[in-house]
Amino acid sequence: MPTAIRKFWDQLPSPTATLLSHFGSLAVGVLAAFILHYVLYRIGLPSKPFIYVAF
Amino acid sequence: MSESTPQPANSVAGTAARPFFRPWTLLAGFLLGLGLMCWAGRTVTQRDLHPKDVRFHPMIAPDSQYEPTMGEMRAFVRARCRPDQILVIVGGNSILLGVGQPADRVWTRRLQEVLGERYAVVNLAFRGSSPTDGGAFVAESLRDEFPRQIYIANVAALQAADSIGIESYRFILFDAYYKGLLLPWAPRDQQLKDYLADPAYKAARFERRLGAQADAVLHFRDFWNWWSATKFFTFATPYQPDPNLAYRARAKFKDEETDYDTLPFDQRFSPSVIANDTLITRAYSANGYSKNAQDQWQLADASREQFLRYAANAFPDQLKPRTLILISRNSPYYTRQLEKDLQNRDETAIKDTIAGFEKFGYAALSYGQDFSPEDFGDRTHLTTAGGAKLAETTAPKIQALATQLGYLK
Repeated sequence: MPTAIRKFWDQLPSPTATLLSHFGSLAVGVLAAFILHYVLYRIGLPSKPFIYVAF
Repeated sequence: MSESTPQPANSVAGTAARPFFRPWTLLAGFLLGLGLMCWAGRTVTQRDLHPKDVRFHPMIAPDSQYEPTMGEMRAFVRARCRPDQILVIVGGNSILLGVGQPADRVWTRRLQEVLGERYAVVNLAFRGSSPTDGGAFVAESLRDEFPRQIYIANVAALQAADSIGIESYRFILFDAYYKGLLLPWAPRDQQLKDYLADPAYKAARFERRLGAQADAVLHFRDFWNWWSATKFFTFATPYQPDPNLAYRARAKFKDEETDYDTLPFDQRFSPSVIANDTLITRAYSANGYSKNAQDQWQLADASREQFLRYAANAFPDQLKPRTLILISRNSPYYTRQLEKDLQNRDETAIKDTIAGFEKFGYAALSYGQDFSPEDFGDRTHLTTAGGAKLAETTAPKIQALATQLGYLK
């Protein structure tokens, strides 16, 4: 962890740091779900389009 | 937590004193996110994503790696059919999709005009699809919501149709099947079981089934199709009218079907196309026919049995009476060049096909016998004039079927 961030984190009042860590963890969890949801969609699609030639 | 408090056992990062990440909160966020995405996926397909479209044109079809979902197509139907109307779903291939006919002159619009307000015609045909693909599954899934429905699809003479459709559109079957939208139909269940168990593709098909089962819960295809249609498409695909539009929201693309009425004759009938299509036309009814002692064309028993087996299994029994199968002919530009004997063989094959479907309770009708070469844009696809003739040929059969099924009471 970069020193500046560590210092900032250490200097935060305890309730704020706790709240931030919960909020950050929740956001990362939601983001992970969002990415997984997209990956499941994307891997299910064919790698090439369906080629149709009328004539 | 004070600065002197020792690092908790469950901290995963941060300083010695304070964790950045809270594993249980992270897990709760993950489950919350998944729940929200699942809810969003279920919700977004309750409205029509393609209000301006009359059909699934290439930018909202597998041609451009966009795979419409059952939810999306069901919403497409609901937005176009009132409960008091008789629903007419058009499935089948590019001929019924209206390839060669611009959206404002597509044959299903003419069919709607001829049938009138009492009916709602919805075009769910796809390029290269079989009678048992997309539109068929959508119609079947809406059997209770729109019990007064007629499903139309097309085949060539004696063309076989698997109950599980064709590979390119099997994603629709998977979607419908694993969301529990289809009727139990033993021949289809067995065919799907055999398809999944094929040793050559077992692993890939297992993954595909797993994906469909996960989607039935998480609705990721519904959500990301909504996103792709209304926000932006998330990856580039080779099928693009313009590379700069690779990520453009798919609902913003217009239905820009080629107009066969304005396409020069030599582009549609180049020497190589004519040579190839002449061979195809000559082979239209070649399989299984030979002359009998009375010098008449007769279908071999094995070929007849195979065709009848397909016809028997293609649709669940209770859906057969409301299914109208159209038998497509080739353009007279080609058929007029055939020897009389081959023309007779084609007619025999068409009669056998109609009789085969009718035997199992389907309605069946051939079209094109009285069409002129100008009604066709190529060997099989119709021009606007040909599309109008198809609508006028088909409408009386639909009306008769509606009467027979008691829809007009």
